Amino acid sequence: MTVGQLVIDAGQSRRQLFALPVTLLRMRRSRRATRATAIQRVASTTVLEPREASLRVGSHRLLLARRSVTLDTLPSIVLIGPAEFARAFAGRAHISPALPHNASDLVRALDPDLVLVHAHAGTPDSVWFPLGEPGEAVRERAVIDVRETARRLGRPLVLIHDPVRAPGLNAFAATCDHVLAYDSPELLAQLDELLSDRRD
Amino acid sequence: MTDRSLRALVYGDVNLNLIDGSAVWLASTVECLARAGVTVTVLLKARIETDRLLRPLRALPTVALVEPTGSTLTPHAAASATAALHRERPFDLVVVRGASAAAAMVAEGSLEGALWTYLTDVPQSVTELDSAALGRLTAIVRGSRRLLCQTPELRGFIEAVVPAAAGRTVLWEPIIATVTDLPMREGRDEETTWAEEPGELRIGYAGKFAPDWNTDRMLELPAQLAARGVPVHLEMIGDKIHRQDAGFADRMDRGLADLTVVRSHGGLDRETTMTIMASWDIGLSWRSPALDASLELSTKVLEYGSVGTAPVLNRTPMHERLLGSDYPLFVTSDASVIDVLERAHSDRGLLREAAARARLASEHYTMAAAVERTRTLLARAFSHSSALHRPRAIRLVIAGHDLKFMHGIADLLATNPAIDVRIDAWEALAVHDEQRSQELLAWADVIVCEWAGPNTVWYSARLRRDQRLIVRLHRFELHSPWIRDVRPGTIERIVCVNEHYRQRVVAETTFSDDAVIVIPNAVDRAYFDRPKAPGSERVLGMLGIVPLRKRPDRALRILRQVNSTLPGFQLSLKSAMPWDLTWIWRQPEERAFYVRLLDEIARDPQLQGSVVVEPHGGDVAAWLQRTGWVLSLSDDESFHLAPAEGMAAGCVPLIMDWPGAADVYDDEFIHRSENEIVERIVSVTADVGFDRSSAQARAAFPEEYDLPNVASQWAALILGADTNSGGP
Repeated sequence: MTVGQLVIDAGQSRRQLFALPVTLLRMRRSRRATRATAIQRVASTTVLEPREASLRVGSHRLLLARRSVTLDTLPSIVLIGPAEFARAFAGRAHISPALPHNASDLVRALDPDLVLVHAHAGTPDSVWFPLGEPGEAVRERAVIDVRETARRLGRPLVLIHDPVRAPGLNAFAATCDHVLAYDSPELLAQLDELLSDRRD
Repeated sequence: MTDRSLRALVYGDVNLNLIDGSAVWLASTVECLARAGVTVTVLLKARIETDRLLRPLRALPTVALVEPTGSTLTPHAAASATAALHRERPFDLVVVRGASAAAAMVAEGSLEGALWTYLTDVPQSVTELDSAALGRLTAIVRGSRRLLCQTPELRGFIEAVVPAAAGRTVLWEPIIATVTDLPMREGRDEETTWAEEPGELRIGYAGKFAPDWNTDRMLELPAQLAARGVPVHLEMIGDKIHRQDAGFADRMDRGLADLTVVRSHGGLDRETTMTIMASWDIGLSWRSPALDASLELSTKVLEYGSVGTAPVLNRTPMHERLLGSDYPLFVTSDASVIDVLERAHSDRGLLREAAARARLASEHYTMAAAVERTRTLLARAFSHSSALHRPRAIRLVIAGHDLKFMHGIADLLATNPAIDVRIDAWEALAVHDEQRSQELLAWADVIVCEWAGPNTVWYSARLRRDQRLIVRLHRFELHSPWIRDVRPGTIERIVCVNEHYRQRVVAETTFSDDAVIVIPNAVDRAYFDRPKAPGSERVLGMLGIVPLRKRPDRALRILRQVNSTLPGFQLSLKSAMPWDLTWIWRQPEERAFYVRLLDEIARDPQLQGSVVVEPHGGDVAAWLQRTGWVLSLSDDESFHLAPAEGMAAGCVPLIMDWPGAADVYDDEFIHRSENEIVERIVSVTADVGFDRSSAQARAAFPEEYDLPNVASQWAALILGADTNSGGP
């Protein structure tokens, strides 16, 4: 059974909808043996044609970005963060950038190894602006939704924090699985270690 | 504003015998209201033991102090006492500070329409806001006519978490006390004569003594700086010690008593406090990082600045906005406060620059500036008094299922002494509490039906001969049967929001030309008038993308074309989604359109990182701050508020030439094609400059759409003697 078919079925049955995360998790684990990547799984959700999707899914899942990717064996990360960070981490993992309106659904669909929130996601030129500004409830809500989704999937949420630039994430930081300093020289190594732990 | 003097009651859930920020706030607020021409009654929480803060208020002839008869007032007792005073002689506004007191006053019920609530003691992040706190906050917001917010950050937060706050929030910023004849230290005003030789560094703190305010650690600074060879004189002013932490209280008691460490003044009145502050080189507002996410601005930072004393404070986004990101005396970690003070001691130029920067920043917060802002605020919040004298107020019922376009108008009409307003809120277009509607019908002189729907049919069928019926028709009602089902001769006026629809109503119904008039939609200009956020110049915004006649597909094409010339633009779609609106989602044509549209966004690499869908909510004004351009691309609109709200917010409107657009907006903002819109964005960005165009758009906001002006037209219509019926 494909992930796409699972999603279609979930749209038709409340029971299957509730069971979807667990089913996907099981499928993911069985596929890991064959080294399928998370991105591949996203690709499989795109088998829905628009017309079909409109009639059978009809939900915010339509907001998910769809991409074609190549197979490889890298771990997967859903990133709320700046493009420069994604570039710096390239080669270590598949990074799927999340948008405020689809971040939770992306995590749910990909079931990544890690979910990363970078405090510098909220620069003025980013769609995540002004994440980390005190009082910016809309963006804080989006990352809280992501945290809850990651928890349901049993995936760790890592905050790369800059408490000076993004003090609005201080309360959120206390609820994350790991908080790393953005300016630590060990940052990439720390992330490598977390990914390694996940894949052991 | 009304011709008579407004009457206010002010209650703060704070003991004015102790000096802290909230007590100082209360004294400043009362003084500000009084100086703005308001007659103020201050209900005190506790009996007077010292008049340190009250002395300046006693000198104001329009301020009266009311002491509690017994012990300190509980929130419930304060609400009862306020309600009793309000019954004796109603207040125009009741200003209350403190969530518990505000909740009690809302629950009391009789202060509805009068409460102006100031809140700081609420959770200030979504993470900390549980459902109970949200429920409480929502109840307070709904029960308050105005929400006074200390900072734009707090205002934005409340608007985002409580949609009902939209339109009710106003800024009530910190106010610096007026101190006359402040003795300036030699050279303080003149850069050239500022002492060049580093002598003793005079540092000080004024306020409450609490762990997160680092006041115990401040007592260690003289010794720490002495170890680096920096001589320091430390002074502290205050008498409120946080005693929940016994260890902290003990350290403070012992430290303040040690004359070798600090000169402690105890609690002082504000004038003396600021006079002493003026003698310091540096005022401390260095706090625990736990407070860095606070949505409040410390008044003491502004007070330091106002007397020419340079504040040392944490680097936070809010403080950077206040003083500039290059302000030289920011502390970035606990350790560096010593570094900052040492640097300030050795470099007098640095100190001079910091003091000048802080003084400049404080000018916005002076009492004189606050009084001017308050006058404007009150003038907008209270209706112009009617010139017509009547034996009793006209009884007005406003009936409708969706009052979002009428809320602000009704709010202002309710302040007009010649009009008594009641609302008949229908649950849905054709669903209402018939008994309540019957009661209101029996009571009313004038009925205004918002939307020409089933509400209009219902009221027209039952209208008495001595009653008047006015109906506002927006757009969709013209194509619906209800307007033709009204009882002939019952509608006195049909109010349209633009000339195009007025003409269509005359042409397509049997209403006569003079029975159909235009009063534009209302925009609360002051509410939307907020500074643009950095980066907004690259954000195209669309407010509402459903139904398909809004044409979000055009926005995608415009974004693609703009980005092909000037990369880096984003499109922000703030809207309910089509599946949230069942009557839309069940229409095959609508559904297919949105599936195609979202599929395009999801698949197109050019759009994937550039389009973001924002949740529909009450935070439109904050969203407009982050939006540079407001798109109005519809096939059909009656008015479309978004461009007008955007102009008030300094957004450049980009309006497709929908029928009637030229009746509502200036030609300068109307475009005949998507290409024209693209060219406009490119030319403004590349040639004119966004800031200039933004300022021009803000200045071009049509005054006649400003809420008080629109409300005046409605008041004239409701009170007017003209009762010629032009109905069918």
